[in-house]
Amino acid sequence: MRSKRLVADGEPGPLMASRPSELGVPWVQSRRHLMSLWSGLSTGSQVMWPLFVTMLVIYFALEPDGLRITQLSLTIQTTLPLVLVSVAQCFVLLTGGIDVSVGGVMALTDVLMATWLRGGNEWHIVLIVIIGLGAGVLNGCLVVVAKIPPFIATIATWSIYDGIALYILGSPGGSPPASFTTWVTGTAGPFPMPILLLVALLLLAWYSRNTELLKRIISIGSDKERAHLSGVRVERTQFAAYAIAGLFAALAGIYLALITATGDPTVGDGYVLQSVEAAVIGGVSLAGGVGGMGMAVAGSFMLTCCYNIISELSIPSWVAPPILGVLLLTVIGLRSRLERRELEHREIR
Amino acid sequence: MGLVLQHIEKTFGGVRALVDGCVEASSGEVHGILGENGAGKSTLIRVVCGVTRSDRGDMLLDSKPLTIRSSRDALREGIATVFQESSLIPALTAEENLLFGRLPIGWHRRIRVTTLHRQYESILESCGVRHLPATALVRDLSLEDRQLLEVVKAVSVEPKILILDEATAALGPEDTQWVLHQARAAAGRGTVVLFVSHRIWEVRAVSDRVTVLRGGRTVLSASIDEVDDDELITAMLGHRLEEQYPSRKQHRANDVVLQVEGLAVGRSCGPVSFQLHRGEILGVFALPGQGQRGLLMSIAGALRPEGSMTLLGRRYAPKSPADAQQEGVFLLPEDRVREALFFEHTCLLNVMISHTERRRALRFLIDRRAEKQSATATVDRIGLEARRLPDIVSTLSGGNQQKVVIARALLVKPHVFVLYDSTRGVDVGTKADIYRLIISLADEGLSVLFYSTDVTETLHLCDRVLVLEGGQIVGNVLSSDVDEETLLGLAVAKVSVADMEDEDYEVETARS
Amino acid sequence: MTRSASESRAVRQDLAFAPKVERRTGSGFRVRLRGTVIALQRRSTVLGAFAFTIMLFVGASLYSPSGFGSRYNLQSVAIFAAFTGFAALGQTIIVIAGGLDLSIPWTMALGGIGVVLLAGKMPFVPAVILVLLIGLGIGTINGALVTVLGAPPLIVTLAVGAIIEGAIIAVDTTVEVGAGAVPATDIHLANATIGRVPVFFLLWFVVAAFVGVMLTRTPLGRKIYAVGANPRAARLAGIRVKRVQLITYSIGGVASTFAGILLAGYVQTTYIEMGQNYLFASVAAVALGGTALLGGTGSYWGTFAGAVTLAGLSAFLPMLGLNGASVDIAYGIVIIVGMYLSRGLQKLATMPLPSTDLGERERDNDE
Repeated sequence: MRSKRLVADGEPGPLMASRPSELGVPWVQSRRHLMSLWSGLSTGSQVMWPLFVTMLVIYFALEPDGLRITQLSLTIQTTLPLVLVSVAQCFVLLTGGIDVSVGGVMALTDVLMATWLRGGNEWHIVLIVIIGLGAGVLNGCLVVVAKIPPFIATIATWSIYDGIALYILGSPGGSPPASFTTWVTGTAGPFPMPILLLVALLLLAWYSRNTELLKRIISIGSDKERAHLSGVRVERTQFAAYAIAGLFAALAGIYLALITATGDPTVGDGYVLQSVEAAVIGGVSLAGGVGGMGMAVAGSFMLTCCYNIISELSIPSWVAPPILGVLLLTVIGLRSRLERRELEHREIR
Repeated sequence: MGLVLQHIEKTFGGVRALVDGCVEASSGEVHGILGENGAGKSTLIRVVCGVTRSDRGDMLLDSKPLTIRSSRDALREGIATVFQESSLIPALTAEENLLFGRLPIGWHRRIRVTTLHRQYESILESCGVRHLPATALVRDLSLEDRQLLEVVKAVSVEPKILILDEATAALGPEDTQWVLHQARAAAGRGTVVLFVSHRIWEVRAVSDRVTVLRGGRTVLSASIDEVDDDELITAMLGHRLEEQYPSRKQHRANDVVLQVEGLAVGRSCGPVSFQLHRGEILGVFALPGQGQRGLLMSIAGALRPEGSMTLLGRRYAPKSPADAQQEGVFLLPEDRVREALFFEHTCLLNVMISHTERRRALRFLIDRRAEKQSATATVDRIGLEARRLPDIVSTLSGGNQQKVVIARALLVKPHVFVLYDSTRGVDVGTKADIYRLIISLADEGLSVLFYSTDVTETLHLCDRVLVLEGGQIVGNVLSSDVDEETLLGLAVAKVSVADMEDEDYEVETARS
Repeated sequence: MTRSASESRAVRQDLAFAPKVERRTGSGFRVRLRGTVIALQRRSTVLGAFAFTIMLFVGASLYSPSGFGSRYNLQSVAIFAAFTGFAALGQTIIVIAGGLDLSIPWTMALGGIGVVLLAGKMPFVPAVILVLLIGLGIGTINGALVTVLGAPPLIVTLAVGAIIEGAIIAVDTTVEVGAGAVPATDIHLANATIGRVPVFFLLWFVVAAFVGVMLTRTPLGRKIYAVGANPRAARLAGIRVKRVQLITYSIGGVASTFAGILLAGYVQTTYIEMGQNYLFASVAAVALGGTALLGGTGSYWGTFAGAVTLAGLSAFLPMLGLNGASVDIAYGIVIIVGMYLSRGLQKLATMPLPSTDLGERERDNDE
């Protein structure tokens, strides 16, 4: 017995005329636009923004002086190294990996800045940037080519880069060229440099949001196999993410050396956890696929806010790291609850 | 003009998935591909879309040789696939996914958002889909919407070859019709359309020609008008080598061991209700992806379903496979390498992992001698040589590996033994050993849930068979009452005469 | 499920009736030979690690008999190895089960500082026990967070480390304690020797033997390997995966704390960063010992060899004129090399045997 041919050739009919379409009255549209903007944010962001705004409000309430340009500029200056290293971490987290060697790269470039640029060798700074990039490339090689899992590979390189930094400069000392320091901590016209640099970073963040590279990075963090099926060059993109991370970590170390006007081989270690905290609290997902540079920036400032609020309340400063640790774990916990539910549904196909 | 696949071969670690795969599909034609699980059709599709590389064989497109080594190659050659597992990136929006790979780049490598949006809208419009919001993240879309988007994505590329692999799996009747229309429209534009589905009526409704694969070979290739459903089913089944099935005495109705009521797992399975009796071998027969995984994993405690289950009169709601085992339910998982075996360890460890023999004196130590004895006795029963116990499991053949897992189950002595496609990739001799064992276990009073994709095996081994299709039980029959054709017919959603004359059955009659 | 002896007998009788497969028995000797070869093959990673250790020590002693080979040097190498070994004890077990613990340095500091703080208020032994219990608690918290949150252990344990750091300071802000505050018993224990061999090293050896037994001869040990090798299969086989992982972190907490207590005795002072050296060292020792950092295989004896090697390296490299920081670089290189080694040796360990096989080729009569 055969069944009849059911589909005729010709024009496909309109689908689901009964389903609501996107059309609507203008004011409905703009409200819907806002709603979609809000819901378009990841759950992480939805938690983060109110928290961030609250923290800002509390801080500036406690310390109105903080809003003055010079004070603000100083705060931004001290936060920028964290911002840069968090951005570095963000790129790697987006691919679903992790890079703990950012601390080592920071230490290495910091130390190089303090020792290598003496006596007319200021142009070496370019080389230092390249070294940072190279460190990222090495990480990329280990992860992509040697197929060593990111956490192992970057723990190893963390040790190596830290070791090299220690080798070059056994204890804090040295000094980067004064001219660089003055330039970076000074003003360009009426604008303090830190604020300019921050604005530049934010512009970069906004720009990067819609680059194809970032979309590709997000896609491999979101679902590697599907990204592959869709034609993404997974290995090349991963490589790029680690290289970019090395670059930004290097910039972080360079900037840190300049604003502290000295070199210190042990700076990196504290920044490792903080870079993850800033990124994750800012909304980047540890599992990959969610996040952006802007979140790293916001998260970094949230951390700084935290530190500042604590000091304003005359709480001893050592309280901050554990509190941030707890905050990190809480955010992870909440997020993984939601993510795990989704994974369960994917399991059953 | 068209796609020609000649004598494609592919072997996966000892299993010959494709022996002689041949397809000839012309441009402007919808070519249906049918086959049971293990017949090779999924492997063939994977070869064409670049996910796998064939060992041997040629591909020709428009009489020119086609070399595809990766999915990127396939995309470049103009092959668009609607994958069963979806290729949409969950973290990106609908519009980004739709135009992935051809995003409009503007100034300094930045994506033109407004252009993207416009392109998205116009593509949806031309396909007759209107409701998928452009900025919604794919992970927030429903399964149906995702599948629709995937189809639109593939079709909008205007590919040379369009592959639809179970593209209608998650869709309701209206959406299914739309997909079928799209397939024909694409064919109308000159595309070669490969349409893979396990539902015969769909294939018939949309195809011009059809190819049937069985045992890795192409066994039938004809115009759809020349064959009827029964011929198709016979081709899918074919005559196989006479395998030894041990004789079984007629099972008599017994008390109920496991009662399942309204079990549902997400959207893929259920609600489903049935009973399992003591000493019964209950078969579950379904083609891939019909909800059997959700069902069996729930019974084994690996998932938490809705609905309720009762085991030996008591409420049974295991929170983990460990709970399930304590209650006496043991699962032999689907993928023995990934879900059952500890590949780098010895057979002994693999056998004893669920049940250790402790020393009488120092209870926290393992009694090695007792373990060796238990293990030896158990592997004897399943026909595995005891001298292989110290060997590393990765050095064993597939059949022997399966025996190791079965030995593990035997030691636990469950009340209910759930076997998930346990004879896949296993040689004939081992299969016979397994059948013999299952029957003797059932004779001893154990109840067996036996999921298989092999019709003959199911009928010969099981007392009763549940057929799953689309997450529902579409058949609950005694194996003595049906033949292989009927069983497969149920699983492939063959449309019967009665159905077609039913008023509710929708038929598109628009003809130009 | 475990069974009593009588139940086991019943099971065995049940199975007795089954049709037996024709068995080819080779001569007893060849069967035993095969067994020995397989056993050696499986331990090839550990044997390789020990071989490397021996080569290093022989080479270094030849290069510098009065420097490296001196009794003083070897004793301090032995002690440093023991500290690394204890720090890496928890790490090994945790890694085999598929996790990682980066809070070790702070747990060690907690051990040292804790015993110093408590020893003023109670006798030595109860103080030690209390501190070890606290360490157990911390390890358990680590484990609970890793299993419940489902987040990468690397990050979770790093965060916990920061929290411990805060907790230590919270308890007593005057953390830098001088020599006088470290209990005398502690100092004695850490520095005592029997003949030429430090007591602490012997203690470590004994503990290593226990750990070895635990891993290979207890059900828990077996489950630890299974969970690390294939967590999905372990779960489906009825192992309570989360519970096993939790236990490994708990053990790690105790081991690290213990190391910290004795470290305080050896250096006769305590400070927050006292455990910092041991972060990379613990991972490197595990990697060098052939334990796959991804879990599922390995052995504590391998880590033992690895710790000894690292201690030797850190004493030897300065003798070659390289400054102390080179040790850190060495750690990193060792981790990477260790990964490759363990992968390669893994392949060796699971290779099908050639002609010692009694004639039957497994793969031929296949589907």
